[in-house]
This record gives sequence, structure tokens and C-alpha cells, in this order.
Amino acid sequence: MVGTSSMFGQTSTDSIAVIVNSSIDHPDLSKEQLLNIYTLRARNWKNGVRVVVSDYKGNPILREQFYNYLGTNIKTIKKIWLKAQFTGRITPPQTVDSIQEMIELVVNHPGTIGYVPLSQVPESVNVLIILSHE
Amino acid sequence: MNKEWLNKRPLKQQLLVLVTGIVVAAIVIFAVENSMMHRKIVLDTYARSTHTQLDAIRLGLEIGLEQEDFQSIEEILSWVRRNDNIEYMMITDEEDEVIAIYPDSVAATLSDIEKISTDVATKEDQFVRSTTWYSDISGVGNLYIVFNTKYLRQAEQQAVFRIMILASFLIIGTGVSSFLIAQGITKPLESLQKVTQLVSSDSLDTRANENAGSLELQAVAASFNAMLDKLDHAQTKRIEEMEQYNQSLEQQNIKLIQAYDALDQQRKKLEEESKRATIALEKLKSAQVQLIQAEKMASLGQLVASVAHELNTPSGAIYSAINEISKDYVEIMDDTATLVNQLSPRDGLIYLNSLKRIIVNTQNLSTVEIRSLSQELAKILEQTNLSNVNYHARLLAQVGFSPELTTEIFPLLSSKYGELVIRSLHNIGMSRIHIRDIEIAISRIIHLVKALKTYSRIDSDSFGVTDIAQDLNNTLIILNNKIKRAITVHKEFDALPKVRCYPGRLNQVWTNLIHNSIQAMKGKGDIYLRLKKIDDNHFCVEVEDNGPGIDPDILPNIFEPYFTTKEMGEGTGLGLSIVKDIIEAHHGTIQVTSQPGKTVFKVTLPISNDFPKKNSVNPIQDDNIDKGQIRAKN
Repeated sequence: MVGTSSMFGQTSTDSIAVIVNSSIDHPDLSKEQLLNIYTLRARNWKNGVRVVVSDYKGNPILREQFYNYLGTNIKTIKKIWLKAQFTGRITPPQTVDSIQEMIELVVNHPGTIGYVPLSQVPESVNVLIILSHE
Repeated sequence: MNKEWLNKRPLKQQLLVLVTGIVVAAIVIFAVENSMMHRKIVLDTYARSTHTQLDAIRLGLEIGLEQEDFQSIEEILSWVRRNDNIEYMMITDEEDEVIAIYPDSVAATLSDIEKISTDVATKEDQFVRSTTWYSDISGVGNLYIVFNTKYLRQAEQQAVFRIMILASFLIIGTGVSSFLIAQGITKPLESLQKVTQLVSSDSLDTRANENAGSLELQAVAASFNAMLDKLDHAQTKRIEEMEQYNQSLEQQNIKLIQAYDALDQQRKKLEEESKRATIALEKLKSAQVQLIQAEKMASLGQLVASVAHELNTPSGAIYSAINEISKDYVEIMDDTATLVNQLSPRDGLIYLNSLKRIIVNTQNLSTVEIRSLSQELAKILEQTNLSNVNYHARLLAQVGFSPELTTEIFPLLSSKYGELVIRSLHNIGMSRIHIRDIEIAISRIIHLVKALKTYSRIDSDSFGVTDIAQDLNNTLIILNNKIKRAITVHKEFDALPKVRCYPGRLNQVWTNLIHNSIQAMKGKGDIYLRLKKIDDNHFCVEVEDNGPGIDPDILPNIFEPYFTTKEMGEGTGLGLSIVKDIIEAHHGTIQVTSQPGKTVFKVTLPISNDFPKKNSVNPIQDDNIDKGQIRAKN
């Protein structure tokens, strides 16, 4: 995990871009809508494609910062996810080890949502919202 | 009951019931035992498998959360969802707060789980397993899983069902096979039985099948056939013998028929003789009836003779007394006329007074008394001028003239009319005595007539009550002329209630017995006539005499009809035979004991005979009496 930690070497003040597979176009996504997606309450995009949430494993600063922007934390989200999974009606979130992996995931799988540092947003994805300090 | 029933069934059914019963019992025991074992094993296995499942789920959740591999967690959960035996699943954190619960449709809380846990004992189809688990989001919490045994139960039921189907097949199979085996055993037996039946209904040609059934039964059939062969042979031989025997029988039969014909002729002869004998017997019977009637007439004749004699004596006495009186009265009239004219008034009064005394005096003096009185009076008369003192004294004594009275009329006797007075007093006194004799004779006649009346009233064949003592007395009165001469009758009568009987017939008995005694003693001796009460319903009459007695050789025969010791023509010989018949008709007995000087006839009879026997001697008599009574009433 030493190699991966260098990849999350951003400062806490960096802006985070929430990206989605190019098949999805949802320009005015609010923070609340984003929280609904990441707490697995919203399950389909407007065009009917299934929402697939992706996240990073472990506790990198990027992940902590992302949930911090959403007004929650990793532990809470994980609890919510587990609880939702017990109900059996959700698509389980995909977890990855690196930003590159997440980009590949988002690029290659329709309906997949993820987040990367604003500086690393690729071209082949749509950005839904950019999270930063006010 | 069952055992009884079974024993009455044919062998086939017995075997069938027995084998099927054993197999069914075995199968039932096996099935029950097997299902119980099965249940135990399955439960144990299942309990163990739940621990494994719990651990697997715990491990899967822990690893999945640690690696944040939500796909693998999803796999575990989808396995749980597919797994029907998990009812609930719940995870809690370190404070035992619920994190997640499956399925979400059940709003179960921790207390529900605990409730299930305590209910396990009563609710067998659910039980709880729990273990601790760890994750970064929960710390050391708990994992609860509620397993159900519903499917276990279903599996168990399926197993039992399978066993039952199997058992039914087994039972049917056993039934069929035991039926076949039973058939195999009993069929040869049945054929043997049929053969024996045919044999017993005289068909010796039948043979049993020697090739059917087991070896033993074949052997039985073979030896049975051998026995039949022997029987057949023996029977053939016997038939030959029988035929020979029949031939000889036929010959004998012909002889018998001839003998029978001879016998039949003899029988016809005998029948004719028998008819003749019957006619003779009937003649004899009528002769006997005539004889019985003759006996009755004979005793009636004796009775009439006796009564006539008894009547004759007082009649004679009355006749002579009246003669005497009429003679006396001629003299009395003459003497009285003389005395009335000659006597002074004083002497006339004395005379009349003495006459009264004579008439009033009724005492009957014996010859001895008359003699002593006569001597006494003679002494008084010696002081008078009377010539024949003793003669005159006897005249006065004969009429019972007392010395006192003689002294009283002494002046009269001393006068010249003394003899006249004495003769007159004697004549009046004698006429008084004659009148008294007439009274006595008449009273005797009345007595006799009375007895005769009673005797004749009951000398019928009617049934009634009577006083035996009175009857005996009447009999004695009627037989009096035969008794009075030289026979003393000693009567010893007990008090006895009135007896129900045929009084006339019993009188015949008493008359016969007493008359026999008188005749046996040749009219001289003592008769003891006893009437004794034996008990409440029996009495006896004994007639005892001190005559010569009955010869012991003839004693057993005296009650036989026509037996008599009297001269030819004197008696019918039916007397005692009739006596015996009468007593037996009254359900009584007669016994006789005899030795020289003491012969006793003892008649024992019941006091009340409740069933009168219709008279057999002469029923026409009753009829006459009835008519007589009706006439008398009119």
C-alpha cells in the first residue's frame, strides 16, 4: 500500500470532482442527491440505468475528504451500506485501491459513479459536481 | 375372544393372520424406531451444521468488511437469502445496538431475538445461535441467527411417508406370500379332507393326490391311500360274507314265516279262548255284585232280626203289664167300693193318705230288698189280728210300703178290714209298678227307634260328618239282643271331633266287627270297644274279644273275599272283605292280632277325608234318598 499512498498525496484543500460514466448526463447534481446516491437510497439514473457506487478501500485522505464534504464519515457510510445490503435490494458498491482503477471503472462501466481529485479528471467521463471548500 | 375366534378358523386363515400380524408388528416397530433414530441424527447433524453456518457467516462478514469487499458480503447474504432454514439474522455493535437485520420486513429488535431464545424449549421449530464478531464499524458486537427446523420436519415427514409406503408394500407382500405358503400347506390337506369325506360317504374308490404339497404331506397322502386300499379289500371281503349271510338269513326267514303262520293260528285260537274267558269273567263279576248285595241283605236281615227282637221284649212287657193292670183294676174297684162304704171317716182319710203315698212311690226294689222289707213288716203285722202275717207282709213289701207307713196305718190294719186294705194297697201299688214297667219298656223302644233312625239315616252312601262314639253306641243298641245275655261291653272312648266319612259304610264296619266278635265268643264273654285319638287327624277303633281267637293258619286269609269258616249257607265270606274295602276307601287301615283269649281288630282312619269317593256299590240308592228328602221337605 506504500505505492498507493503516494497517489493520494493531495492536500485537504484540494477540490474533488464527482465523475460518472459518459452514458449518464446529470449536470445539476446537488450535494443532497449525491449523498442519496452514496447512501444507496437512489438506485437508478434518470434514464433508467442502474447506479453503481464506487469507492476507495481503506482510509485515504481523498475518501475522508469526500465524505467530509458530504457532511458524514467513512464509518457511518459503511454502516449504512451494510444495513442496506442486509435488505437485499441494492447493488453493492465497488471498491478500488487507486484513482487509476476508479477512472477505469467509471470509464468502462455504464452507470458507475466515482470521485477523483479535480486535477486528475479524465476526458472520457462526465463531471457531475465538484466538491471544494467554500 | 380373539384366540377363540382364531382357533375356529381354517388353518389357512390362521397362518395368514399369524404371519401378517408378526410382519406388521415388526415393520411398525422398525419404522417407529427408525424414524426416531433418524430424527435424532438429523437434529444432531443440523445443530452442528448451524454452528458451522454461523461461523462461516461471521467470517465472511468480518473479512468482507475488513477488505471492504461488498461484493463478497453480497454473495454471503444472497446465500443466506437462499437458505430457507435461516429465519432471522442480526448484527449488533459493541453496545449491542442493532446495525443490520435480515430480513428487513421483520421489524425485529434484540428483545425479539431474546424472546425467541427463551421460547426454544416450547417452540421446537426455531432456535437461536449467536457469536461475537468484529469489524471497524461495529467493534466487538454480536451476530445472531435464528434457525428454523420447518424443513427438517418436512424432511422427517417425507421420510416417515416413505417408510409407510415401504411398510405397506411389505405388508401386502407378506400377506400374499403367506397366503401362498398357507395355500401350499392347506391345499393338499384340503384334498385329503375331500378324499376322507368321499370315503366316509362310502366311496372307497377315491384316492388322495400323492404328488401335491410338501414331502410330509405327500407321505401322509401315500399312507392314507395305502390304508384305503386295505379298507377296500376288507370291505369287498365283508360284502361277500354278507351275501352268504344274507342267503342263509333268507332261508331262515322262510322258516320264520312258516313258524309265524303257525303261531298266528295259535294266537287266533287263544283270542277266541280269551273272549270266552272275558265273558266268563264278566259273568263272575256280576255274580260278585250279586253276592255283595246278598251280603248287604244278609246283614240287613240280621239287623232286622235284632231290632225285631229288641222291639218284641218291651212290647211283651207292655202287653203283660197292661193285662195285669186291667186285672188289678177289677179288684181295686170292688175293694174300694167296699172300703168307702164300711170305713169310718177317720179311717177313710188314713186309707186315702196311704194310697197317695203308694202312688207317689216309684222306687224299684230288688228281690232281696223285698224279702228283708217283708220280714220287717211281718214283725209289725204280728201285733195285729191278721191271720197270714208273712203273706200280707210280702204283699206290702212288693209295692215298697215302708215300716213307718205301716205303723201309721196300724189302726186300720188292726181293724176287721185289715186284709182288704192290704190287698187294695198291694193292687194299687202293683198297677203303679206295672205302669212304671210300661214306661221303661216304652223308653227302651223310643231309645231303639231313635238309634235305628240315626242308623238308618246314615245307612246310605252319602258323605258327611258324624260322631263315631254315637255311631258305636247306636250299633251296640241295635246289637243289644245279642249282647245282653252274657256279654259285657267295656267302652273306652276318647273325646273325638266329628269325622268326615261315609257314616253308613263305617256303621257297616262296626256292626260287622262287633257281630263277628259276638259270634266268635259264641255269645259269651267280654268285648272291649275302644275309640282312641292318635293325633290331630287320625283315630282308631279297637274291637277286642276274649274268644278262642283265629287260627294262625287262616289269619292271613280272613280279608280275602269268599273266605269263611262258617257253615255252608251261613255267611257269604264277604264280610271282612267288604270291611277292608270300606276302610281302604276311607284311606284307612285294618290290622288284626289274635291269640286264644285275645283277638283285636284295629281300624285306623283319618278324621277328615276331603275327597269323597263316589259310591261304587249302588248309586241308585243315593237317588232314592234325595227324592225321599225332597218329599220330606214338601
